[in-house]
Amino acid sequence: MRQISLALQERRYSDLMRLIEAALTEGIGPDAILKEGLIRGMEEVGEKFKEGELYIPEVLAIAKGMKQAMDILNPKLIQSGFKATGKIILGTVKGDLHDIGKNIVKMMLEGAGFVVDDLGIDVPAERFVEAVRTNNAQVLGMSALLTTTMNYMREVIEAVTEAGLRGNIKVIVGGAPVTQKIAEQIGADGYAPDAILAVEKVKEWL
Amino acid sequence: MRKDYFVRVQPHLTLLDEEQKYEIHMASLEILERTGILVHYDEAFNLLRKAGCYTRNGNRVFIPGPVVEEAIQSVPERITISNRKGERCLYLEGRKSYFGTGSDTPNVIDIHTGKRRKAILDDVRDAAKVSDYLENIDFVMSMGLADDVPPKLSDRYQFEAMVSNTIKPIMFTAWDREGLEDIYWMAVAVAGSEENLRRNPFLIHYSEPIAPFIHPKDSLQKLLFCAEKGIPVEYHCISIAGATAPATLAGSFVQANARMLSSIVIHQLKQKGAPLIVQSPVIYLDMKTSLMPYFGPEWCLSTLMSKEMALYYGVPTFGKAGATDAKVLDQQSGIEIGMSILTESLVGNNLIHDIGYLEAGLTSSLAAIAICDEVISHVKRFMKGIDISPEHIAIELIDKVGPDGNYITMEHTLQNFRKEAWFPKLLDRNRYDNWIALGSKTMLEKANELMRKILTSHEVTPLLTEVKKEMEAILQKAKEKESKG
Repeated sequence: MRQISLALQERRYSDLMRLIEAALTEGIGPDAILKEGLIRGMEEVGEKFKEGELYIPEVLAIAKGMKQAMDILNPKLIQSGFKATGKIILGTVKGDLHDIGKNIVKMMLEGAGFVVDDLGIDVPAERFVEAVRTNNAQVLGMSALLTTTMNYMREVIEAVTEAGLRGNIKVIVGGAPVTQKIAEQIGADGYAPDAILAVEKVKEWL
Repeated sequence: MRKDYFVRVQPHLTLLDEEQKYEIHMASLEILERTGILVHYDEAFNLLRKAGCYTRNGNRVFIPGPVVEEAIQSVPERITISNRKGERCLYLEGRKSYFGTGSDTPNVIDIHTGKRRKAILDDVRDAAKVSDYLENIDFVMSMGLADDVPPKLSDRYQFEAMVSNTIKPIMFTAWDREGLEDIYWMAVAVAGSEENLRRNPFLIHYSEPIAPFIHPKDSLQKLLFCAEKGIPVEYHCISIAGATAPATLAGSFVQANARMLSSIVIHQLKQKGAPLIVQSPVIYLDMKTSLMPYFGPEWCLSTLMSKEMALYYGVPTFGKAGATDAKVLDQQSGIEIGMSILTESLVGNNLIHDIGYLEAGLTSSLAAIAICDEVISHVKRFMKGIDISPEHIAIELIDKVGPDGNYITMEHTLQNFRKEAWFPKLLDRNRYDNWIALGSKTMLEKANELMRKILTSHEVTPLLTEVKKEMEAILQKAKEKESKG
């Protein structure tokens, strides 16, 4: 498992895939591979990032490697009856076309083993509500870069409440002008200033 | 070389030679033809199509080189900005530099308590007032995003607050085209007529597209309105290397340059010869915090290249100085303020903004403006250079004083020391004991004292009552429209 963790951290993808296949052949359960190998590796990556040893592009590349590994493991996990970690809906609110932050959050969440439904940019309240209604997701994440469009997040939360769906879902918000205080004011459940902390917050809930 | 030789020599900074500018220009043209841009506004899209651009899906546009060259030809090489009274004062041409504050910071550092708090409309008034007083501040921006006014109307309120508290030119933002229009009519009231405003504009609008090559509807609506009305506008093309642009400086710069060229094209197609100000700088995304810093060595290189390309094309430029990522006025802020003002002065951008910014543009500080004013004064002396002439070389004087005389009592010294030397106002050069006797003040303490004094003592030339009434009426109408929603 240590080997798998290191292969992931050091971005040796062909080694990583080989080691995972070998482990599965040996009879090691996919959930053990996920928990002891991959997730342990991602946790170490998180630590290294906090200490300034790794930077965002490297963390993202590792998250991509994680996703590749998950693509192999997921069918096996489902076969062995493993419960999925969680589903998150993401979108940049209406009137706003900025999406880099959201995309980084998406990659980090997938790297943490979550499933993400990305609604894209310029997303109106109706589409968010529809996604919450039909998707079976546990978390709704919204992003805005402009102080103007940030206020629209409040409208989305109101729309979700009006549709009677607010109790089913946790809401997290982010974006350059957003703060903890603003998140509380608009009725969100959580706020994160960057993708790493966003994933930690979501993990707390799920 | 000859008798009676006289010259004033001034320092300047260069980086690119003609070949390198050519490479950058050629690469930009290729990108605009091959990759193209996204244009999310029908009017702009149709102008581009009619001009001969290739299009796809109603918003993707590929711009042929000749269309770009024509726009470069027609964009004015110089813009004269006036003050509120219509007196022409800022000559945006060549490497003539003017400094101003920044806009829309959600927070300010309170000048009395020193604490960080939310910005209110009074902060906009105060910042305009101190800028009106300070010798080395040439134009103002809002220095606050007022929390105590209806959010969707803050742009109009802030414009009114600025124009009432300074006669200096104003650079402003607007939420959308409606906000821009209201502010336009407020400015017309001040200028007296549309023609007065067009001929001697005292305001400049700020808007921006999004990297890599996205021109959003709001930004274009504002850009085209300015083109139509002859309002000078800066359409800002900053690229964030490693995030919205390549991680290599040349790649991100060429991308920003190409986006800047596409902006000139759109603007000039709406109105040939309309005044436009540009900049195509690059900042590297901080790969630890994922935030966009406001100063850095790569940025310094890019602002220089941006100026050199703009001179190559013939269009006035924007710049940024006196802005720090520090949260307080500490050593980091001192370093970033000093280095940025020196760099921008050497580069020679025309309209240099964000003086007084802290926390990467999220907090503004009046004390910081005072400190920047001192630094600008210092750097201006450096940029003034040296006069070389027989009188200045003063061989006869040197001979008269001889090998072991002194100059302190010489008439030549008396005549020249005030003209040649720079005198600090806030920088401290006292002996230690004297510094203690004077209260052992830090520069920050002195800056705070100065700003508090200016706020109570400086008087701004008031607006005429009729003008105030007209602006109030426009504001009132906007408020009514907003509440009807």
